Amino acid sequence: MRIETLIYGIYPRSDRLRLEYGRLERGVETTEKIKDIIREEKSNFYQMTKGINFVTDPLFNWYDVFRSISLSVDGISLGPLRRYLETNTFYREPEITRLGELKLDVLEPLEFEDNPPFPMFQNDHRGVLPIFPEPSSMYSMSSVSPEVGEKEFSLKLLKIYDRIAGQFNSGQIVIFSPKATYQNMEIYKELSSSRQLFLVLNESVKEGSFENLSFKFESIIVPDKKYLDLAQNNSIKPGLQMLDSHNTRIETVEELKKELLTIENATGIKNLIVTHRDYMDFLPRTIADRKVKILKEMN
Amino acid sequence: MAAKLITQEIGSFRKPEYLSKKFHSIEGTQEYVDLSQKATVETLEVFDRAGLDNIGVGGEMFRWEMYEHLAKRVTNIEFYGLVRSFDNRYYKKGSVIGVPERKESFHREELEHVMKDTNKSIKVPITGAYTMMDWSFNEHYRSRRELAMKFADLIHQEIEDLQKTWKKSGRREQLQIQIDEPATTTHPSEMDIVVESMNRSMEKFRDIEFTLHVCYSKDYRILYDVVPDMGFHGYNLEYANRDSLIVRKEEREGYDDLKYFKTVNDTLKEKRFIGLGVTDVHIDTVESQELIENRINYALGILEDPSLVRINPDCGLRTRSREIGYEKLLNMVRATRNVEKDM
Repeated sequence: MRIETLIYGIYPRSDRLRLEYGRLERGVETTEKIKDIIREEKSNFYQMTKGINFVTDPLFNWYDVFRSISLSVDGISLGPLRRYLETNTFYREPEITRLGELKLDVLEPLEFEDNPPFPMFQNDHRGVLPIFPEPSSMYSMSSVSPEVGEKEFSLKLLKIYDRIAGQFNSGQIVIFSPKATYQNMEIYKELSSSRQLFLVLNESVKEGSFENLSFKFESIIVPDKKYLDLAQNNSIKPGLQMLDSHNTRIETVEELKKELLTIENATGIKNLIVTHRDYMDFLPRTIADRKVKILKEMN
Repeated sequence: MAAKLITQEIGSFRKPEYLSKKFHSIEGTQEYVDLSQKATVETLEVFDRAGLDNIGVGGEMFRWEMYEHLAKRVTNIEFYGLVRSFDNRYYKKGSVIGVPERKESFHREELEHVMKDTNKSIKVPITGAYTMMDWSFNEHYRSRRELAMKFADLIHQEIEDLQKTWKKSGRREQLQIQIDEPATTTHPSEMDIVVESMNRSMEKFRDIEFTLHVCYSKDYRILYDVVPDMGFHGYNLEYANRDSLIVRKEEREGYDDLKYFKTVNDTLKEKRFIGLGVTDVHIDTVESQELIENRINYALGILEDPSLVRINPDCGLRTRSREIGYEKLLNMVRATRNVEKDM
C-alpha cells in the first residue's frame, strides 16, 4: 500500500511562544516581536514536518479553529467561551448575524485586540495548505441569527474560502469538520472545480450527505475504517485518521502498519492518506512532535 | 425561631501574592506549609468579616489547582507538558501510565491546620474521580470507566484519612465532604460512570455529609435525572452565571431549571438540598443585595422548603481579587440574612 501523510489544524504552541504570548497580553511584548517569533516557529515546524506529504499552516497565531474566520468576515463577531465538543478546551463561539464579505486583506498583517497578530496564514513557505472550518460545522457550533440559513451561509463561506486560497495562491485546501452536521456535500462542487479539496471528518460520518455526488473530493479523510468505503467512493485518495490527538500514548509504526495491512487485505485500497484524529492542539507539544515523527516513518 | 439559611464558601479564594508568587518553588517545604497556613488564617478572617457560616477550608490556600494538586500526589501520573484550556491559557494535564496509587494524603495537612485555626463549620472539597479521569490522558486502562473506578478508590481512601483526622480532633459536628466534579455532565453518555464512580467514592461512610459541586454545565437536567441514584445529601451548583443581572424579575432564567430538580426531588423519601449559587465568580460586578435577595426568593418559591436551600457563590472565588471576593461574600451573607427575616 502506498501511504501519504497529512498534518492539519492547530498545532500546539511551543513553551517559548506560549510565554511570549503571555508577555504580549501583559503588555510587555510587542506584536512586532511576536510576529517574528511566529515566523521563526513556523519555519521550525515546517522543517520538522519535512517528509510529511501534506501540511497545513499550524495556526500558531490563532486561538481556536473558528477565530480566523470570525475576525475576518463581516457579520461575524466573537461570543462567549464554549466547550469544544466533549473536551476540556474552549473556543469563542462565533456570533453570526449575517454573512458579509471578507473585510480584510488577508495578506496584510493587522492587529486585533483579541487575537494578535494577523495575517490569516503566512504564505512564505511553499506547499503549505490553508485550512478552514467546514461551514455547516461552524454554523452548528455558533450562535446564529434566525434569518441566516445554513445552506446560504455555507455557500457564501465556501466562496470566501476560494478567495482566500486564491490570495495565497494555493490550489489545495483542507476543510476540517469538527461536527457531523453537514447536509448535502454537492455544495462543494463549484469549489472543487478550482481547488483540490481535502475533507477531514472528525466525528461520526453522515453517510447520506454523500449520496449521488456528481464530483469527487481530492481526499476524504475519515475517523474510522468503517467509513473507508465512503472515502473510496467519493474521493480520489481516501484517508484514515490513525493517530490519537487526545491521548499521549505513542502509537508504534509496527502496530499502524499491521493495521494498514489488514485494511489493504479487506478493502483492496492501494493508496491511502494517513493522519491524526482531531487536530494536535489537545496534546503537549513534546508528544505532538513525537507523533509527527511516527507519521513520518509511515511513508 | 426564624428558619436559617446556611451560607457557605464553595472552595478556592484568591491567594495572597506572597504565596501565589512562590507556590511552585516552595511546594512540599516547610515554607510552603508556613505561608499556606498564614494565608489560610488571613482568608478565614476575610470569611469571618463577611459573616459566612461555613468556611470551607479557608480558601484552599494549600492547593494550587484542583486537578494538579491530586495528580501530583499520585503515582504513575506523568506530566509531559501543558495543554490549552482556551486562548493562551494552559493547564497541566497528566498522563496515567500505570496503576495510580496515593503517595500521600491529598488534604489531611490542610484540614489539620484549618481545624486549628477556626471553630466554625468546615467543608472539605475534594476533586472527584470522574473529573480526575476525564482530565487525564489514559495510557494504561482499557476503558475510561476502569480509570474512573480506580480514582474512586483513591478518593475513598482519602476520605477515610480525613474522617480519622476529624474524629481524632474531637470535633462534634458532622464532617462535610464536597466532591468537586466540573466534568460531570460533559459526556452525557457516561452518566452511568459518573454515578458509579461517585457512589464508590462514598461507599460505606457514615457520619459524613456528602455534597456534590458542579458548575458551568450546559444542561443540569442530565444531572438531576441521576440524583435519585447517588448518595449525596446535597448539590452545590452554579446558577448566577446563567442568570440576568436585572434586579426585579418575575422570572429568573438562571434558576428556572430548579423546577425540574424539584420534580425529581419530590419523588425521593430523603430529600436532597441545593447549595444555591447566587454570585457569579466570573465577573467583577458585585451583585447588589437586592439582586441576590431576588434570586434567593425566586429559588425558595420553587423549592418551597428553606431547609433544602443553602447559599453560596457559583464556584470558588479565586478568579476574582480578594477585595472583590470579599464584597461578593458580604453582599451574599447580608442578602441571606434579609431573606431570613421575611421567612
